[in-house]
Amino acid sequence: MIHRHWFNLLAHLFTVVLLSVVAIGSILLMPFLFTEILLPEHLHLFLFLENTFFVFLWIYGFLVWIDYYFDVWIVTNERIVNIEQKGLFVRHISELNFSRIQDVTSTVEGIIPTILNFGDVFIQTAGEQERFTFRQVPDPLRIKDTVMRLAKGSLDTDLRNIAASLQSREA
Amino acid sequence: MKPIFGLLYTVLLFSYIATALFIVFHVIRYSLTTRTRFFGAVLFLSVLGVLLFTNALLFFSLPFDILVPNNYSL
Repeated sequence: MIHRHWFNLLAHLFTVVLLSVVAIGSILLMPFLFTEILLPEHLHLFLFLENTFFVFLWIYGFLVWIDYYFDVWIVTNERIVNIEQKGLFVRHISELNFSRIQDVTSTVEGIIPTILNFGDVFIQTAGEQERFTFRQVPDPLRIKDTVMRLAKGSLDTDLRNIAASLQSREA
Repeated sequence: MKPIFGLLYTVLLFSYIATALFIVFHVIRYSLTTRTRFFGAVLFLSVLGVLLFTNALLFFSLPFDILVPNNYSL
């Protein structure tokens, strides 16, 4: 089971963390910058707005996590299953048998992906969906090798089965 | 309390609750392990529950008569 690299989640959660720091910073600094805010009516309004903002951040943070956690690739010894979650209302699930794999490519682009070793793996297939992509996955080279090994194993098994059936017909 | 603010707050609250329900549905329905399903839903709902409760308390303690003068007839 493969998820996107944790850095991908971190990059998306960075906005949430930054906005949280700004909100907490404003709670601490605003009374010093604007003393009128300490008046009871203003203080209630200020705290209400801050709280509403935190509710928004909490929900948004979880939406980011859902987008990350439910994007998953499952590699078995028979097929690859790609589950792709986009927001809350779009979910694609596709399967690919190893026998349909024609070519596998892995790419690592950029400074941070090179340092942390993550990138994309593209699988060229013979089916309707011509290209199957593992996006921003950790150790793409190892995944490429594993897929190639499993695809070769699947091909060998298919060839053995064909040879066995031919032999049984001849006999 | 001015009725318009009550109405706007109700819309805001319902939109938050609707989004939260969809998130909980996803966490429970699609989580890959029981542990993630349980901890994800409990963590999300407990923090959101506290935030929404304090949000409602703060909203109902807002002095609208002072914040919005009566000459603005909302």
